[in-house]
Amino acid sequence: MKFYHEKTLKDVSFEEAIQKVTDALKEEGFGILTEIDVKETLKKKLDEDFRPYKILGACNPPLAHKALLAEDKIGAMLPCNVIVQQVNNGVEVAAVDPVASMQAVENEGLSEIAQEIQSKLKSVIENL
Amino acid sequence: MSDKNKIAEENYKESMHTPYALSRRYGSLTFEVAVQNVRDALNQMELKVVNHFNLHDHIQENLGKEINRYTILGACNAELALEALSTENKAGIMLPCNVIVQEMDPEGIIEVSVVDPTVTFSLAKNEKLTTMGTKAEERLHQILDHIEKSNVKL
Repeated sequence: MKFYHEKTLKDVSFEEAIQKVTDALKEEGFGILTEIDVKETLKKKLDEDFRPYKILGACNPPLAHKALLAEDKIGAMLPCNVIVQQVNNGVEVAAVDPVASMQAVENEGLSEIAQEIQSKLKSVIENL
Repeated sequence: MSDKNKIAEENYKESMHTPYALSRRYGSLTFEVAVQNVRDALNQMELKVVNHFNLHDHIQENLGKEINRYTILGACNAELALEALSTENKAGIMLPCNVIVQEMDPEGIIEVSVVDPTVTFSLAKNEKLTTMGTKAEERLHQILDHIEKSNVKL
């Protein structure tokens, strides 16, 4: 099972792609709670030149709450990551597939919630 | 041994079996001290806290619902992250490695859970990446031994 859903956006800058992702997530009820600038971090820590790459941590509060009630340690898998990176032919956006990642949790009570989040994140990618 | 410590020990045994995280409960720490000690312990293992997500406040602000205090710390070692990203360009989906601190009912017991990166990294079905997950796991899981110790005053 693939652990993500992705799309490559052509003819957009990296910043424009970030804005599109932010808007598309908002449409589906996700806020961006965390943001890691991988390029900047690797430059600062290791003096390594990396391509533009950001990890956005997205969270839909009602679904996060439901997941937490079903599995109290689910925070270990939160928020849902969406990564944005510069590739040769554009900017690639990939969102985690929570159905794949929640399999490891082995809690049946989570599967419906994982499917709901999956369909929302899939729409985010499709709507870009 | 105090009752609290007894509870902590009993619960520790009980909560070890989560397939995706290793947990331990502490009876002698406040929530704030636990969060600080987790940060210190991660630092000692050369794991930097790159993000901090207060799930309690997030749920309260957005839904007006009350949950126990709950914080998610995202930890990362730059060398390991670079290695992982060079092996699998979408490894960022599994980063950073989370450590959660939550207050349990009703005794004020604090539970710290550390994600098992061998499990999360194995999602990619890339053997090299799974091995890196195990490397990260060894480092990460050691912090559980240092969270209480750093609080002991001799």
